[in-house]
Amino acid sequence: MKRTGIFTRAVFVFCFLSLFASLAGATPEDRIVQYTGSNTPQLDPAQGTDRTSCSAYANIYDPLMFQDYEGNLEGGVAESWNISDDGLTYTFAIRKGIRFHNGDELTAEDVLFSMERLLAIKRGFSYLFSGLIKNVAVPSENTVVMELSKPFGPFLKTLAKFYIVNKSEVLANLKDGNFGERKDYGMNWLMNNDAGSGPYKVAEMAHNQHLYAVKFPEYWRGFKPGNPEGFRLLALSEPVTVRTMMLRKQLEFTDEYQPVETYHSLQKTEGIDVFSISNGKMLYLSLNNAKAPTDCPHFRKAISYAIDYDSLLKIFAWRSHPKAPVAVSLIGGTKDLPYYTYDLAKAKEELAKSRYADTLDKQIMEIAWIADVPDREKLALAFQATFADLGINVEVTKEPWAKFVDQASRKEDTPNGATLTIAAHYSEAGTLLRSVYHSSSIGSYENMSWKAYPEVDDLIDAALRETNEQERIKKYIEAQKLIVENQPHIPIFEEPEIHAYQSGYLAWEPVELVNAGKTIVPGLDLLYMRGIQFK
Amino acid sequence: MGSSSFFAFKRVLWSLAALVGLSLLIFTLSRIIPGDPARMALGPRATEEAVQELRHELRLDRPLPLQYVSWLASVLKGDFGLSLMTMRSVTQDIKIFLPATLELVLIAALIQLIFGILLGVLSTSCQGTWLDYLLRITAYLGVVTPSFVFAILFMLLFGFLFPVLPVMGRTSVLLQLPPITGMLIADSLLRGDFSTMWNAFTHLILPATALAMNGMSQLARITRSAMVDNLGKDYIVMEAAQGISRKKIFFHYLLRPSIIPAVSVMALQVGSLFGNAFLVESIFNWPGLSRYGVQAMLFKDLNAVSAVVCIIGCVFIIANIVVDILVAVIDPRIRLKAGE
Repeated sequence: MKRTGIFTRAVFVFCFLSLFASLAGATPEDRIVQYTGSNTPQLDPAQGTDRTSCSAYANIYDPLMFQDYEGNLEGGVAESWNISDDGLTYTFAIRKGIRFHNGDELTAEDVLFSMERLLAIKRGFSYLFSGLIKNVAVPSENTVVMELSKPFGPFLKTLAKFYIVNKSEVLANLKDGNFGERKDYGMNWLMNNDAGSGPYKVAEMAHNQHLYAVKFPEYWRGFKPGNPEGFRLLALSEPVTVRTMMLRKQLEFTDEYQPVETYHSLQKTEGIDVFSISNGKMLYLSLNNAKAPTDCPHFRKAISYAIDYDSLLKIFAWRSHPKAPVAVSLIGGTKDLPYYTYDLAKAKEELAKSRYADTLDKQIMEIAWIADVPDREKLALAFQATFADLGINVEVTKEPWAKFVDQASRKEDTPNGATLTIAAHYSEAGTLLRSVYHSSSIGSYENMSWKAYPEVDDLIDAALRETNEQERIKKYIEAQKLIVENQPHIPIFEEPEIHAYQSGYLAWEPVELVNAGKTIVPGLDLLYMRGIQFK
Repeated sequence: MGSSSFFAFKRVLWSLAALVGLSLLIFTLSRIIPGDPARMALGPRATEEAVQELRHELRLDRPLPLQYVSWLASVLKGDFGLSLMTMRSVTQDIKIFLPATLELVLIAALIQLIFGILLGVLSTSCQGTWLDYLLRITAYLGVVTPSFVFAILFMLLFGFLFPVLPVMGRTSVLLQLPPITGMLIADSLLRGDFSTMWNAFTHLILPATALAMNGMSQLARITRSAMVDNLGKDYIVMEAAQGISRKKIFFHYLLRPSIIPAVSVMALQVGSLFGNAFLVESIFNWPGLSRYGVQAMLFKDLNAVSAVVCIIGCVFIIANIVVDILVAVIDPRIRLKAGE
């Protein structure tokens, strides 16, 4: 082959490849924040409760009440509010001048419609309000009155998850459905479109691929300098892809489900940091309190003392030692209780008091781990090894999530223990106390104890009825003290939300608050775009 | 009715019977596996009333045979029911995701066929040389290496070390117009939008090539094996003795009978392409049917699972029929035998 021939071909290949060079993807200069999630979100705020949907809602819609990163409740769509003395009636003054993305003005009618819609569809966050809100009325153009069936102290905080949709826009896009004259309540249309008033509006919804949203210039709160021009939520969580894109600066934030190795590796890269903060999630060793041997409180306390929490924290980085039955980052979660630490002597002491002390060799404790989360196997095996020091036989089983949820609905099929992460849905301890420890949640995977503790129920109910926040916190603490005595479930860690992010060119409000010594209270989504600024 | 037409009619009839059997099997299996899909979809905090409403909407409160009959009746009207994962109609989901996977699989199949056969021809023409050995070893490695390993390799090579190709999604262009076929290359070609077509094509290169590697190596080996077998046949020896050029012998007389096994294997490859597509789609954020199907299985999304399996079954059947026809076109002996 002649040299000129080789040269010509080389030039051709170079030119050919350079055609592709521009296709490398978005760059920081675009000021578009790209981040990953396990799936594309449900755009309809009456449908989704998963993480990616919540991060979309926080940016595309306005809630009735807005809670900042430090847990302060500000007005969102509600400018001011008033609570009746009996705690049953909430009157909200709706802020004037808020525009939806299509230009319509937000009024009290939109608030009323949004709540009616949420309660009728019965999905998404409707469970926070269903059975609680007795009536919603609009006595005047900018006033909404909500009547509750019973006092509920954290009510205002739950309204941080109540997003307002544009009534006229939704009603103009109805399709056939099951809601009488309201047809499908706009569910079909809202799969691909938004009816919100938030800081960003949907530009493109490519299902199972990405959600692309751009700044809404008329947003009533305005923007800070350097706030992103838009964001792209990518339905992508493959570690190789995420890592590659972070290293190429094609991604600004990773999702929180990456393996530990990915975070460690990204942390070593200049310009990338890993930020982790508790968001109210707890990892529990949930226990069946109605099945031998975990039906004995001394047995449960024994295994609580037998877990080497510090060693587990070395394997599962960025977690923190539990100090209470609920996450201490939640309002009302207390660090001041005497709590279980690794102490084999105390473990043996408790085991000796257990009714199975003499028949331990005949007892088998079954611990299930969820197949969809491979890391949990390490945890289950660690428990097996640790409990063996006490002479406890542990059988580790792997269960697909669907099967486990089914098993947890029947007492006889629920295993002795299972490693489960339970998330908080509003920023107070009441959310986890209710879902993990209250007997009303028995039969769901969140509370597989199959044993009611009436005194605990009474304390939790009393706390949730209390409208004075300080008094409510005191009652939460009382409930937690009693729970510690019975130890129906064993908290293993507070599970953080972890993101690797491009610290080289991004300023991120939660990071700055933590660096300034402030405490982040779970509530506002960490990927709220107005809290992100390009440097 | 001619014998060929009768043959085709019988094939279609048996194919339909196979599809019905497949639908019955997957429908039953998906419903007897433990787990309450309504509860899983709504979460543990949804009220029992909401769960029962959803169960009723999904017809899960009816006996299994009745569920199947009403599901089949809906499917024949083009309605696969509600997806619990996306909360959309499964038909709508299929319209979005199927073209994406079809486009990926079609291009991968083309790459497999063309390059697999070409590599087989090249290996045969260099039989016994270092190039032949290299190609054979490469083909072995290609066969035993899973598609997702190639996907990760390409991601690292072309996404990180030499970032010349996009590694994510179907296009980086904002699509304003509604789809025609759903396949971006075809749609943009039909609209005369060559820049979108090029953009979509470049996004397809890496995932399609990763998906094709396995099958391409397989076809290369099969083609080489068949060509080497046929190379020793009398008619080839006679042609060489008559002075016909090596190139003409290879491409005109030797290739045609030698690619029949390769083309037949392609029918099986289609099923494997759909199966392997899941991991490739996940790595390259390709919004395809395979990824949707696996997510549906993990989520116990009954309607989506049934729909995906039935559609892949259909595609498999159609691929087999097409390959049978193709083989008959290539080899006149098969046409004559079928006629007899």
